Amino acid sequence: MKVKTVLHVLSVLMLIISLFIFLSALVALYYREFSSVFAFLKTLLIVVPLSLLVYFMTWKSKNGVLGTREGFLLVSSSWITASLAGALPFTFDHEIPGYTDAFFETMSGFTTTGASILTDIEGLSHGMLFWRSMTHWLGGMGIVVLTVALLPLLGIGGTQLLRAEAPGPSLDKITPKITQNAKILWLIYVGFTFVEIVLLMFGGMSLFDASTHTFGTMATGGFSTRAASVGAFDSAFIHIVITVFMVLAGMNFNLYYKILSGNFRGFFRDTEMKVYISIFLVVTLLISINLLGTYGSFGKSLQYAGFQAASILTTTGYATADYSLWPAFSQNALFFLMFVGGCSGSTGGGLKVIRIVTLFKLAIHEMKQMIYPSGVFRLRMNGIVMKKDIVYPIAGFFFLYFLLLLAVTLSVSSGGYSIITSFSTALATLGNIGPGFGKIGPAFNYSFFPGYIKWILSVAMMLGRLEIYTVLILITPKFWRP
Amino acid sequence: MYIVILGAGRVGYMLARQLIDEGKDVALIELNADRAKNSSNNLDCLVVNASGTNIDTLKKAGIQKADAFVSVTESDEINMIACGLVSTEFAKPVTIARVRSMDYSDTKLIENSILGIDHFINPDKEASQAVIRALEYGARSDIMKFENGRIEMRDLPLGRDSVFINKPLKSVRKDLGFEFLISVIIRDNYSIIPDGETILRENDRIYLLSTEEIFEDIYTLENLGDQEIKKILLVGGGDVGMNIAEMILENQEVVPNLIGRLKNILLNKKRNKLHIIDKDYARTKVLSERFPQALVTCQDIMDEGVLEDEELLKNDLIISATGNHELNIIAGSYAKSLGIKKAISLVMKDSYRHMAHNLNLDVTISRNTTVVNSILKILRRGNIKNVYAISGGKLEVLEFSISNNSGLVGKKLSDIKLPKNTLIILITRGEGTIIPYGDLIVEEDDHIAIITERESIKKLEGLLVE
Repeated sequence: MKVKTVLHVLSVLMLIISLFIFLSALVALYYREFSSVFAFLKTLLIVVPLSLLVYFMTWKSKNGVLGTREGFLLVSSSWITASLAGALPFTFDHEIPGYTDAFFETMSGFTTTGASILTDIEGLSHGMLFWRSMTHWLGGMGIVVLTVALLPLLGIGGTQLLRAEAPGPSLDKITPKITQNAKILWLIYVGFTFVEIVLLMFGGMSLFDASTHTFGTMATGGFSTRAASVGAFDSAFIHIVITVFMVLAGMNFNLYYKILSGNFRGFFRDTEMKVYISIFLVVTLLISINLLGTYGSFGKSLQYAGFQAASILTTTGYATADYSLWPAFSQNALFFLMFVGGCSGSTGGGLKVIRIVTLFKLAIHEMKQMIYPSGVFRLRMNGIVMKKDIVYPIAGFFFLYFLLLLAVTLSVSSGGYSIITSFSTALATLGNIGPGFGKIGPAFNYSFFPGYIKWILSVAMMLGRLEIYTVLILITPKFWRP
Repeated sequence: MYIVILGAGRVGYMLARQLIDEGKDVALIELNADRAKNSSNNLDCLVVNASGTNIDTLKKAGIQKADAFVSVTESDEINMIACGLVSTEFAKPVTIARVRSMDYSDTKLIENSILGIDHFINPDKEASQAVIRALEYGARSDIMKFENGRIEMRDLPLGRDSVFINKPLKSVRKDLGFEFLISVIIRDNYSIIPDGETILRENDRIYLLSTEEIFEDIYTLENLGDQEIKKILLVGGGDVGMNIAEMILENQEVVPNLIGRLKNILLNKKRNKLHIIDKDYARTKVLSERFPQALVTCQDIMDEGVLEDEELLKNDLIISATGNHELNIIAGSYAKSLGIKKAISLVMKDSYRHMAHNLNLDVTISRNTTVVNSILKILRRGNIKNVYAISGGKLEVLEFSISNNSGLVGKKLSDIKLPKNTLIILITRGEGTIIPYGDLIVEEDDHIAIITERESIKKLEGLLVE
C-alpha cells in the first residue's frame, strides 16, 4: 500500500478545494459578511498549510503509481477529508452550532444528497449558503474526477480512481486518455451549469439564487437558499427550467459527448436513457392525472408532477409543493421513484436505471433458461453482450444496497421513529435523495435526529455516493493484507 | 496447362486427381512426408515433399512454366504468403488461395488483391452458399444454374409412385407434356446418359433440366410438393454453421423497438426461426452473442433424447453442418425418420453423397467438391462459365461460351463429333434457352451446356478451340 502517494494526491485535492473555499470567501466579502469571511479564512489557515506540509513531505512519492487498492483508499479518504474540512467554516461562523451538524450538512452537500439540518435557511449568510451549494457542485461530478481533470499527475492509476468514484457501472470509456475523459465530463458539466444560470436569471432570479440553485440542480443535490425550496419562486418558467436540467443531469454524461461528437445514433439507441426517460414520462403522467383534483387544471398538475417526479427520480430533492399532502397514489409513485435513481455516469444517486434494467434482463434470462435448460443466452445492453464481470457486481450491489437500507432503517428506528420515517430516512440518505416521507417530508428537515444517528446517516450518504463497494472494501481485512 | 498445387490434403488431392484426369500437368507440393508419398503413389503427377513458402521448392515444382498456382493448405496464412511469394517472384501464374477465416475473405483484401493474389476461395463460404441456394428452393434438390438462362438442372430421386418409371422416356415425355430433359441417370452408382428408349426404374436418381415453374409441377406430381420452411434446426455452429446462420438471418435484423415489432406483425412479415445446436459451450456463447435472433442451445445431438425432443422435431428442416461428416449424414437421416420434413447435410467425401441420398437426405453438400468446383471454374476461365461435378465427380456439367474463332460456329449439332458419353444438354442464346436438336446451328456467343465424363474434357476443349 503506497500510503504516501495517496497522501500526496490527497493534499493536492485539498488545495483545489481550498480554492473554492476562497471563492466562497470572496462571495461573503462581496456581501460584506465579515464574520463569514473570517470563518473561511480561518479554515484556509488550517487546511492550506497542512496540505502544503503533506504535499512536500510526500514529494518523493509523487510519481508512485496508484494501484487498484490505492484508488479505493484515495477516493474514500478524499470524501471524508473534504467533508471534515468543508464543515469547518460553518462551525467557525457559528451559523451551524455543533460540528456534528456541520459535518452532516457538508457530507450531505458533497454527496449531493441535499438532506439539511437547517431550520432557518434564510438566516444563513450569503457566503455560507454559497459554500453549502458549492459542495454540491463539486461533489456532483466528483472531486477526484476534478483533480484528475485539472492535474495530469495521476497518469496510470487514474482509470481506477474514476471507476471508484463514478456513479453506476460504466460500460464505456469515451476517450483513450483518462485525463481527457475527466476534462470532457467536467467541461460538459460546466457548460450545462452556465446555461442554466443564464436561463434562471432570465426567469427573474438574482445571480446568487440562480447559481446556488443551478449547483443544486446540476449536481442533483437539492440544497436551496430558501426554506420553501424551489417552491419559493413562483414562476412556471423557473420550475420548468429546473425540471429540464434535473432530467438532463440525471442522464449519462458520456451520452452528451456522443452528441457533441456527432454520434446521435449512439444517443438515441441507448437503452438506459430510453428506460430513464420512459419512467419519468409515465410516472409524471400518472401523477398529473392523480393530481387533477388537487390543482384543478392539467397544465398546473403537470408542472408540479413533472418537477417532483424529476426531483425524486434524479435524487435531487428539490420541492415546489409539499407532496406529503398529495393523494396516496402520487406519494406511492414518488416512493417507487426513490428506488430508481439516475443513470450511470450521471450526477444522480440511487440504484441507477442501468442496474434495474440489467437485473430485469437477468430475471427474464433466468426464465428463458428454465424453459430451455440447455439454451445458451447472453445478456445484452445496447446490443452489446454484458459479461459476467459487469452483471455479477450489479447483483451483489443490489443485495448490499438493500442490506444497508435495512441496517440504516434499524439504526434510525432506535431513536423511536415510525417505520415510514426510519425507512424513508434510510432510503433518502443512502439514495442521496434528501427529503423523504413522514417526519423528513419536504416541509421538514433532519435537525431533530440525535447526534449518533446523524453520524450513521453521514456514513450512509457516503456509501450511497461512492456506490457502496468503494467504501466497504476498506473495512475488509483482505484489503489491507492481500 | 501446367498447374502447381500447394497442399495435398483432401482438397488438394481431389483437385489434383480431377485435373490429371482431364489430362493436365500437375505438380503437388506437400510438407507432410506420408501425404506426399500417398499422393505420389496414387496420382500421376510430380510431387515435391518440402515447404511451399520457399522459392527453391517452388522452382523444383516447375513454377516458372506454370499457368496457375493453387494454395490449399490448412493454414490461411501459409496460403496467402505462398501465393504472394509466387505472384511477386514469378509473374506468370494465376494465383488462387484458399482462405477459411472470414476476417480475411470478407474484407477489401479481395478487391484490392493483397499480395498480388488473384483469387480467394473460402470453402466454408462456398459450402454455406450452396446450402442457402438449396434452402431457397425448398431444400428439395441440388441445383445447378446456367448463365443468363431460366433453365436449371436439379436432381430428383424416383420413388415407387413416380410418373417417370417403368416406361420408355419417349412416352413419358408425351404423357406429361412438359418441356424437360433428363441428362443423366444415376443407378446403383453407375451413371447412364439416356436416350428415348431408356426405361427408368424405382430408386433411380435423375438429373433434370427444366424451368423453375415446370419443376414445381414435377414436384407436385412426385409428391414432393411445396413445403414451406420456416423453422430451421442447425446442428453444428462451426465456421460453416456460423456462415449458414449468418446467411439465413442476414435479412432479419433485430427489431429493436415496439413500433418496429408491431409493424412486422401488421405486415405479416415472415421470419425464419433458427435454432442452433452445438456441443461446445464456449462456441455456443460466441454463437449466442452473434445471433441474438436465434435460439442457441448447448447439446450433443447424439446424446440420448436430444433429437427425440418434441420441440426440435417441430422444425421444418435440419441442416447438419458439424465437423463430423458421418454424423451429419446420420443425424439428418435419423431426424427425417423422426418427422423433420427436410434434411440438408454437409459431407466431406464425395462418395458419401450417393449413400446419403439413399438414406433419405434431401440435399447433400460436399465442402470439398464445392471448393474444387470453384477452383476448376477459375482455372478454366475463358470459355468455360460453369462447372458442376455430379455423380461423385465422374461426370461433369460444363458450360462453354462460343467465341467467334471457334471451329464450331456455323456447324449443325449433328455434325459435331462429340467424345463418347457426352451430351449437349442446353444452348442459351441471348435471353432464351434452347433444348438442343440435331439440326440446330451453333452461333457465335452461344452458351453450350455439355454433360461429359471427366476423361473427355481435354478432347472437348480441343474441339472448342479447333
